[in-house]
Amino acid sequence: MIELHDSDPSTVKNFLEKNLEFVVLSFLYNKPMMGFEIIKSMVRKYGLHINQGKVYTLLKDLERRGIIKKERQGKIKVYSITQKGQGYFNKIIIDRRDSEVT
Amino acid sequence: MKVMVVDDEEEIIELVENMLGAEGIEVVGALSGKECLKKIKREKPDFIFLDIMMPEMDGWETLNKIKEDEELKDIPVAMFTVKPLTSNVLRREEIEKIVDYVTKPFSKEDLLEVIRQVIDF
Repeated sequence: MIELHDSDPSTVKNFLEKNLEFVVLSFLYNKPMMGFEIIKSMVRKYGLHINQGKVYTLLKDLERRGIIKKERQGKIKVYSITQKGQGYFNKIIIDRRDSEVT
Repeated sequence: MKVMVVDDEEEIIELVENMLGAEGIEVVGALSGKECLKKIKREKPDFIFLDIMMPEMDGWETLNKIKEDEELKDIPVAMFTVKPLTSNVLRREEIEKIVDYVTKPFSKEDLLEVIRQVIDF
């Protein structure tokens, strides 16, 4: 994951908005989370609060595309990455690495 | 499906009753943290919307009391706020105890979205 601790807030905000899908999937790759947990994780990692609506719209889209799924964990529902999603996320990482090399 | 709304403004409780009632959700109101704690065991809500700014016992204190109770601690709670939570607030210990928050003024879809994020109904 790209580290942006020392960057100014507008740089971090731009990065998050442009790479929201990558950031969300990187959290879900590690463990299932509910939508708000993803938002809290972004705040902890990047120090910025991304609009809930943007994150929830993206989560719905990723779920519709079969990249993530919702499952019950106790009384609440959490999102987890699917097998298709793991392949998709790995491909994003490889593409990003290739674009950094070239 | 039963939702409890805890807010010292009666209009907010009525608004939520109208919005969620139209979706077939039963809404139980409480005008203070104390009233919430008095009613909650009897009503056994599936979800709670809890206002942060309330006189006497505020939302955070009420939340802590709910989460300290073995019988109640698993009920998902979302907070009502007047402005988006800041990064500093999102780092508070209590944030780990909530499932989300809703900024006032809110729409019916805002409420439904937050509920749907965490439970089936």
